[in-house]
Amino acid sequence: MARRTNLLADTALGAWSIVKGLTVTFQTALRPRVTRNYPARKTAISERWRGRLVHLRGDDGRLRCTACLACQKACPTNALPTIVGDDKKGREKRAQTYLWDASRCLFCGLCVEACPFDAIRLSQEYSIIGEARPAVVFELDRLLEPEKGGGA
Amino acid sequence: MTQSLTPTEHVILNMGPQHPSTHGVLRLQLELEGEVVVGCRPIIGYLHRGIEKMAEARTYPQVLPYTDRLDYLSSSSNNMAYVQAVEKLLGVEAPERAQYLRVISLELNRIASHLVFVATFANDLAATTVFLYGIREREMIMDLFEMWAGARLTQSWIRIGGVAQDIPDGFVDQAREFCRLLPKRLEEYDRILTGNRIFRARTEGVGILPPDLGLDYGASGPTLRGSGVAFDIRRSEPYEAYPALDFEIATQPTCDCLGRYLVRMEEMRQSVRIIEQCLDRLPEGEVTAKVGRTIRPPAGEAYGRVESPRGEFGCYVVSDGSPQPVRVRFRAPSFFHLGVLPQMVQGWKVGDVVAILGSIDIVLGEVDR
Amino acid sequence: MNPSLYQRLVTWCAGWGLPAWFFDAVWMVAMAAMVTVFVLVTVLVLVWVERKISADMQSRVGPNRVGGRFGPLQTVADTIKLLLKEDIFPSGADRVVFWLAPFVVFVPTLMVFMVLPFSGKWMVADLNLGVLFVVAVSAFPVIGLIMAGWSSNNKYAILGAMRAAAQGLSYEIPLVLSMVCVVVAAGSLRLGDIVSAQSGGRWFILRFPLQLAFLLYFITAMAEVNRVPFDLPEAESELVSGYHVEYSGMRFAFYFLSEFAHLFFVSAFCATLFLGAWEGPWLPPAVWFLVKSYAIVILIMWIRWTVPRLRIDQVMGFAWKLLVPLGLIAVLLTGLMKVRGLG
Repeated sequence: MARRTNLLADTALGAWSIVKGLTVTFQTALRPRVTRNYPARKTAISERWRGRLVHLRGDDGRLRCTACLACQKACPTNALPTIVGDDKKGREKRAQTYLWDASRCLFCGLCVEACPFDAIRLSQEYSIIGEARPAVVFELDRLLEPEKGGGA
Repeated sequence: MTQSLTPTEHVILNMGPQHPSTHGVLRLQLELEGEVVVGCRPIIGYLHRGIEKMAEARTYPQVLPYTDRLDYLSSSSNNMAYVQAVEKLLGVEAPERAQYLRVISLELNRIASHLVFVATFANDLAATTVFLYGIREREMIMDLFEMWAGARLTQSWIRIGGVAQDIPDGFVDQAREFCRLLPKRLEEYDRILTGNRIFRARTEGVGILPPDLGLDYGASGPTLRGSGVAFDIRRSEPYEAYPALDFEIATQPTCDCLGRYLVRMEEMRQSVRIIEQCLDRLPEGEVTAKVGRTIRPPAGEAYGRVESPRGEFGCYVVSDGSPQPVRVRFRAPSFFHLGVLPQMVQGWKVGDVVAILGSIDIVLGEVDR
Repeated sequence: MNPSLYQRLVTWCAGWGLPAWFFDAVWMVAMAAMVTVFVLVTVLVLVWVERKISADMQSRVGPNRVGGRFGPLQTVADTIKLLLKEDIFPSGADRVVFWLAPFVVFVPTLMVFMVLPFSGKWMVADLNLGVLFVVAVSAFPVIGLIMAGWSSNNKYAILGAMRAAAQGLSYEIPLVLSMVCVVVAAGSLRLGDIVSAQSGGRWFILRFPLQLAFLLYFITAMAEVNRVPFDLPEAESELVSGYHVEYSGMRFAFYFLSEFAHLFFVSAFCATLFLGAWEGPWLPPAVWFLVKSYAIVILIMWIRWTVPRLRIDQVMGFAWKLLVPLGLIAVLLTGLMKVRGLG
């Protein structure tokens, strides 16, 4: 008789535990949703987000980068194969091409920290799309300050 | 089982690299007699990326982002182990503020990883709703990481000598808000999952790991603490700010899947406690020690070990005085847990394999490196 | 249908030179078409309901693009997608059985809709053996599942099929026992009589001891439809889709369709047996029928999204060690109540 009572009690407790679980899902159904209707509404990206690389300009309007290649040396994956060359005037070192290989980039930010001139930063753009490998190797025209707002 | 007169064979079933419940690309070759598992052979290597080899061709700071990608669910632990080894070689100690910040990072990563554990464990047992609840809570942690490191998953925030940046304004308040919210959500999980009769029937008494077997195979972390062995590196070899902090080590004596699950649930609560203490006591000061541009540790070898959410995560670094390490070797807890898995699933059914595999919480990133 | 109306329609057909059986044939085809259309529309609605309810419980939104803000036409879009998929025959599969299995699963599921009393006048066929017909025909889909699992030449599928066989068979018995309780209480196998025995708001669920029968029916119905916690034959996280792992495109859609059709059927049958079918104040009877059926459907979905899944031996143990004895006790109690004139 004791075993049969235990079975009944066990069943009743088991059924009650399932009912308790049902209350949790019911309460969640009444609360507002935590999802957002992307891309109609996008979440705000934090300031420190490590997204697309951006070359910064100084107050005189020129690029701050002096092609010291500190970023290239700091990068773990060789995502900054910038080629050094002289500019036409031959006085200051400027890069011949500015390249950033998004397919190799780890978005770790070591390049930004290594730069002694604060010439680059990682922006809030996270949507980097290309249909072929050459399309994700960025040249200077696509490495400039993005539109306000972040995202794509 | 009585001997049958009909000749039968064992069936080899591949819980193949593509499977909803092998946590990552793991291949489990199961030998089945009906529904009962009589043999299990894990086949790994599907996620091998050669991180240890690549580390030999990189400088010490350059290796750091690669360590994020090992146990990708708790990247700070990997960073910490590597940085600990390198700091031992350099003889450098991080400033106090950095140590507290590191502990906050480690504990937040622990909670995030355990939330993924609860979510995927429940999903394997078909309680899909709990999966989404776990991910919902984890999003709050991801927001915190995004706020201070700029990346949700692979933060690379713990650097040699300290941390990458100081915490931004508003972080402390948001972190406290999270610490306030999480225990309530954990209580919801208890209502919907822990007390659930069906969940108990699936996990209680299933997948017994005897403590001596676990110790023989090098198990650690919640997998071992679920078998009653109170071994936690944060207590046995404390690092960073842990000696000053007040927390309990969660253990369960039952050695089954439920025990391991309960250990992780309790660890989440203890982590909240640790984070609140760190936020209260956060000292002022520098966030990084002076280590110079080029990191060139003297020749020697060092081993750094941390209590990652999965167990003892270790990093062994051999240096010859040059800016690049000679050898970096990672001791991944999931690798050893996979080693003991065949013994744990012996005699259980196919459905239990999923539950047991989920309860030891492996990440293939660190198994395969 | 009204006998004099029937006679007039037959005479009208004869007036066109058509034989007497012509009208019967047309009528049967028309009835079958209506039932099929109803089932298809119901499945469309049910899939949408499932997705929306599961989303609500998971703090998500669910379909919200196709056909407006609430995404009602999402299922239509999904069906079109499934129709356009490649028809795959796995190598080594038994082609005939593989091709036949979806039909064996789908057709009986459609057939049982014939006896559902949507209202006092709207019933395709009020068979004298209504309940027996339902029990007999509902047992067929299990054969289809086994055929699907066997013919797929896939170990996961076979595991799913074996589980389906074990589970389907085991849960038939408590299911039938719970229905026997209702039959004893109503005194007839005919669904029309069962509904009239509940007339005037004296629904069977309110009458002791049929609450036990209701509980039993509810649990075993979930097992018959392979819903969590009994969805082992297609346990996604273990068997990657179980018995229909090798099916794709429209063949897979058949299984999906029949699962939801069967889900609606067991809910509607539950409403008929225990909740008084189309009885209710001020709303039209058919609406009441749908309301009650959907209430049970939503309850089943609520449970599906909350609880984990049982292991196969636990499923069997639950059926044989708990539900069958409970079923027998329920029948005994119902018999006693009936004999003593109570309830």
